[in-house]
Amino acid sequence: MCDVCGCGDPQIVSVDVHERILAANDRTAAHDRAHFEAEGTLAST
Amino acid sequence: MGSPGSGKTALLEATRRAAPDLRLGAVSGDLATDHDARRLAAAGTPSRTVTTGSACHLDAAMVHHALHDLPAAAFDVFFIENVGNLVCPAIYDLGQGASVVALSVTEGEDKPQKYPPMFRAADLVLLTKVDLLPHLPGVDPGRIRAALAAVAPRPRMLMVSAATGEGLDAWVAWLRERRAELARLLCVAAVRN
Repeated sequence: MCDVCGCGDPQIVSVDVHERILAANDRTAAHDRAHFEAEGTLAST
Repeated sequence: MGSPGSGKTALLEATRRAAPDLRLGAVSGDLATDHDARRLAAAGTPSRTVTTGSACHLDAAMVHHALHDLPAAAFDVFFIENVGNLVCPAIYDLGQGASVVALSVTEGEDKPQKYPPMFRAADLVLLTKVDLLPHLPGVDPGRIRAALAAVAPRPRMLMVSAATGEGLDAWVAWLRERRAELARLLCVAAVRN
Protein backbone atom coordinates (compact mmCIF):
# COMPACT_ATOMS: atom_id res chain seq x y z
CA MET A 1 0.00 0.00 0.00
CA CYS A 2 1.27 3.43 -0.89
CA ASP A 3 1.97 5.43 2.24
CA VAL A 4 4.25 7.97 0.59
CA CYS A 5 2.03 10.35 -1.34
CA GLY A 6 -1.09 9.74 0.68
CA CYS A 7 -3.14 8.05 -2.06
CA GLY A 8 -3.37 4.84 -0.04
CA ASP A 9 -3.58 2.74 -3.20
CA PRO A 10 -3.42 -0.91 -2.04
CA GLN A 11 -2.08 -1.97 -5.46
CA ILE A 12 1.12 0.04 -5.07
CA VAL A 13 3.87 -2.05 -3.48
CA SER A 14 6.95 -0.26 -4.81
CA VAL A 15 8.17 1.09 -1.49
CA ASP A 16 11.59 -0.59 -1.77
CA VAL A 17 12.12 0.74 -5.29
CA HIS A 18 11.06 4.17 -4.14
CA GLU A 19 13.51 4.03 -1.24
CA ARG A 20 16.35 3.15 -3.62
CA ILE A 21 15.42 6.03 -5.92
CA LEU A 22 15.36 8.41 -2.97
CA ALA A 23 18.70 7.07 -1.70
CA ALA A 24 20.34 7.75 -5.06
CA ASN A 25 18.73 11.18 -5.11
CA ASP A 26 19.98 11.90 -1.59
CA ARG A 27 23.58 11.14 -2.65
CA THR A 28 23.35 13.60 -5.55
CA ALA A 29 21.63 16.14 -3.31
CA ALA A 30 24.52 15.89 -0.86
CA HIS A 31 26.90 16.61 -3.75
CA ASP A 32 24.81 19.62 -4.81
CA ARG A 33 24.67 20.85 -1.21
CA ALA A 34 28.45 20.62 -0.89
CA HIS A 35 28.78 22.66 -4.07
CA PHE A 36 26.46 25.36 -2.76
CA GLU A 37 28.16 25.48 0.62
CA ALA A 38 31.62 25.69 -0.94
CA GLU A 39 30.46 28.77 -2.80
CA GLY A 40 28.77 30.29 0.26
CA THR A 41 25.47 30.15 -1.60
CA LEU A 42 22.11 29.84 0.11
CA ALA A 43 20.12 27.45 -2.08
CA SER A 44 16.40 27.81 -1.59
CA THR A 45 13.57 25.81 -3.04
CA MET B 1 7.85 25.20 -4.09
CA GLY B 2 4.15 25.69 -4.45
CA SER B 3 1.06 24.94 -6.49
CA PRO B 4 0.84 25.84 -10.16
CA GLY B 5 -0.14 29.51 -10.25
CA SER B 6 0.85 30.25 -6.67
CA GLY B 7 3.08 33.06 -7.90
CA LYS B 8 6.52 31.49 -7.57
CA THR B 9 8.04 33.09 -10.67
CA ALA B 10 6.46 36.49 -10.03
CA LEU B 11 7.85 36.39 -6.50
CA LEU B 12 11.36 35.68 -7.81
CA GLU B 13 11.06 38.51 -10.32
CA ALA B 14 10.02 40.82 -7.49
CA THR B 15 12.86 39.54 -5.30
CA ARG B 16 15.31 40.65 -7.98
CA ARG B 17 13.82 44.16 -7.83
CA ALA B 18 13.78 44.20 -4.02
CA ALA B 19 17.38 43.03 -3.60
CA PRO B 20 19.45 44.48 -6.42
CA ASP B 21 22.69 43.94 -4.47
CA LEU B 22 22.25 40.17 -4.07
CA ARG B 23 23.79 37.88 -6.66
CA LEU B 24 20.83 35.70 -7.56
CA GLY B 25 20.63 32.62 -9.75
CA ALA B 26 17.85 30.18 -10.48
CA VAL B 27 16.76 26.96 -12.07
CA SER B 28 13.10 26.59 -12.98
CA GLY B 29 11.33 23.30 -13.45
CA ASP B 30 8.30 22.78 -15.64
CA LEU B 31 6.90 19.91 -17.64
CA ALA B 32 7.28 21.97 -20.80
CA THR B 33 8.40 25.42 -21.98
CA ASP B 34 11.20 27.63 -20.73
CA HIS B 35 8.88 30.53 -19.98
CA ASP B 36 9.75 30.89 -16.30
CA ALA B 37 13.52 30.86 -16.77
CA ARG B 38 13.19 33.37 -19.59
CA ARG B 39 11.14 35.65 -17.34
CA LEU B 40 13.76 35.42 -14.59
CA ALA B 41 16.61 36.03 -17.02
CA ALA B 42 14.76 39.07 -18.38
CA ALA B 43 14.47 40.34 -14.80
CA GLY B 44 18.24 40.06 -14.40
CA THR B 45 18.60 36.67 -12.71
CA PRO B 46 20.77 34.11 -14.54
CA SER B 47 18.49 31.12 -14.96
CA ARG B 48 18.18 27.74 -16.57
CA THR B 49 15.16 25.62 -17.35
CA VAL B 50 14.68 21.97 -16.54
CA THR B 51 11.84 20.54 -18.61
CA THR B 52 10.77 17.35 -16.91
CA GLY B 53 8.48 15.94 -19.61
CA SER B 54 5.98 13.98 -17.57
CA ALA B 55 7.75 14.14 -14.20
CA CYS B 56 5.94 16.10 -11.51
CA HIS B 57 9.04 17.26 -9.63
CA LEU B 58 12.73 18.08 -9.93
CA ASP B 59 15.34 15.69 -8.59
CA ALA B 60 18.89 16.38 -7.46
CA ALA B 61 20.44 15.13 -10.71
CA MET B 62 18.37 17.61 -12.74
CA VAL B 63 19.59 20.43 -10.52
CA HIS B 64 23.15 19.15 -10.81
CA HIS B 65 23.04 19.25 -14.63
CA ALA B 66 21.50 22.72 -14.58
CA LEU B 67 24.27 24.00 -12.30
CA HIS B 68 26.89 22.83 -14.79
CA ASP B 69 25.08 24.78 -17.49
CA LEU B 70 25.21 28.07 -15.59
CA PRO B 71 28.06 30.58 -15.56
CA ALA B 72 30.74 29.81 -13.00
CA ALA B 73 30.04 33.02 -11.08
CA ALA B 74 29.12 32.50 -7.45
CA PHE B 75 25.64 33.32 -6.23
CA ASP B 76 24.55 34.68 -2.88
CA VAL B 77 21.17 33.01 -3.23
CA PHE B 78 20.27 30.32 -5.73
CA PHE B 79 16.57 29.59 -6.19
CA ILE B 80 15.41 26.14 -7.20
CA GLU B 81 11.89 26.74 -8.51
CA ASN B 82 10.31 23.33 -8.51
CA VAL B 83 7.49 22.11 -10.73
CA GLY B 84 4.16 23.39 -9.43
CA ASN B 85 3.09 20.56 -7.14
CA LEU B 86 2.49 20.19 -3.41
CA VAL B 87 3.21 16.45 -3.16
CA CYS B 88 6.42 14.96 -4.58
CA PRO B 89 8.68 18.04 -4.24
CA ALA B 90 8.33 17.67 -0.48
CA ILE B 91 10.17 14.33 -0.42
CA TYR B 92 12.98 14.95 -2.93
CA ASP B 93 16.05 16.57 -1.41
CA LEU B 94 17.63 18.98 -3.92
CA GLY B 95 20.60 20.04 -1.81
CA GLN B 96 18.85 23.18 -0.64
CA GLY B 97 19.68 25.02 2.55
CA ALA B 98 16.18 26.42 2.92
CA SER B 99 12.74 25.21 1.92
CA VAL B 100 10.18 27.87 1.11
CA VAL B 101 6.58 27.28 0.06
CA ALA B 102 4.51 29.84 -1.85
CA LEU B 103 0.81 29.67 -1.01
CA SER B 104 -1.52 32.14 -2.68
CA VAL B 105 -4.54 33.65 -0.98
CA THR B 106 -6.88 32.08 -3.54
CA GLU B 107 -5.87 28.46 -2.92
CA GLY B 108 -7.99 27.72 0.13
CA GLU B 109 -7.39 28.37 3.79
CA ASP B 110 -6.98 24.69 4.66
CA LYS B 111 -4.29 23.89 2.08
CA PRO B 112 -1.59 23.24 4.76
CA GLN B 113 -3.82 20.61 6.37
CA LYS B 114 -4.49 18.95 2.99
CA TYR B 115 -0.78 18.69 2.10
CA PRO B 116 0.99 18.32 5.46
CA PRO B 117 4.34 16.88 4.22
CA MET B 118 4.96 19.96 2.10
CA PHE B 119 4.17 22.45 4.84
CA ARG B 120 5.88 20.39 7.53
CA ALA B 121 9.09 20.57 5.50
CA ALA B 122 8.89 24.33 5.01
CA ASP B 123 11.25 26.70 6.78
CA LEU B 124 9.05 29.55 5.60
CA VAL B 125 5.65 29.93 3.96
CA LEU B 126 5.07 32.97 1.78
CA LEU B 127 1.41 33.91 1.55
CA THR B 128 1.39 35.42 -1.94
CA LYS B 129 -0.92 37.77 -3.82
CA VAL B 130 -2.05 39.49 -0.62
CA ASP B 131 -2.92 42.54 -2.71
CA LEU B 132 -6.02 40.53 -3.69
CA LEU B 133 -7.28 40.20 -0.12
CA PRO B 134 -9.57 43.27 -0.30
CA HIS B 135 -11.42 41.46 -3.09
CA LEU B 136 -11.67 38.18 -1.17
CA PRO B 137 -13.85 38.93 1.87
CA GLY B 138 -14.15 35.24 2.71
CA VAL B 139 -10.42 34.68 3.03
CA ASP B 140 -8.86 35.20 6.45
CA PRO B 141 -5.05 35.06 6.68
CA GLY B 142 -5.49 34.23 10.37
CA ARG B 143 -7.22 30.98 9.46
CA ILE B 144 -4.44 30.15 6.98
CA ARG B 145 -1.88 30.80 9.72
CA ALA B 146 -3.84 28.54 12.09
CA ALA B 147 -3.98 25.77 9.46
CA LEU B 148 -0.22 26.04 9.06
CA ALA B 149 0.35 25.94 12.81
CA ALA B 150 -1.71 22.73 12.97
CA VAL B 151 0.76 20.80 10.83
CA ALA B 152 4.13 22.58 10.88
CA PRO B 153 6.70 22.36 13.69
CA ARG B 154 8.10 25.78 12.75
CA PRO B 155 5.11 27.70 11.47
CA ARG B 156 6.48 30.89 10.01
CA MET B 157 4.53 32.82 7.40
CA LEU B 158 5.13 36.14 5.68
CA MET B 159 2.48 37.97 3.68
CA VAL B 160 3.82 39.22 0.36
CA SER B 161 2.72 40.74 -2.90
CA ALA B 162 4.87 40.70 -6.01
CA ALA B 163 2.50 43.26 -7.52
CA THR B 164 2.74 45.92 -4.81
CA GLY B 165 6.00 44.95 -3.09
CA GLU B 166 4.27 44.42 0.26
CA GLY B 167 6.28 42.15 2.53
CA LEU B 168 9.27 41.87 0.22
CA ASP B 169 11.58 43.66 2.64
CA ALA B 170 10.84 41.02 5.28
CA TRP B 171 11.32 38.23 2.72
CA VAL B 172 14.68 39.59 1.60
CA ALA B 173 15.73 40.10 5.22
CA TRP B 174 14.87 36.45 5.88
CA LEU B 175 17.04 35.36 2.94
CA ARG B 176 19.95 37.47 4.20
CA GLU B 177 19.56 36.07 7.71
CA ARG B 178 19.50 32.48 6.45
CA ARG B 179 22.57 33.06 4.30
CA ALA B 180 24.44 34.59 7.25
CA GLU B 181 23.40 31.64 9.41
CA LEU B 182 24.70 29.23 6.77
CA ALA B 183 28.04 31.07 6.73
CA ARG B 184 28.26 30.87 10.53
CA LEU B 185 27.55 27.15 10.51
CA LEU B 186 30.16 26.50 7.82
CA CYS B 187 32.69 28.57 9.77
CA VAL B 188 32.07 26.54 12.93
CA ALA B 189 32.36 23.30 10.96
CA ALA B 190 35.65 24.44 9.42
CA VAL B 191 37.09 25.35 12.83
CA ARG B 192 36.08 21.97 14.27
CA ASN B 193 37.73 20.15 11.36
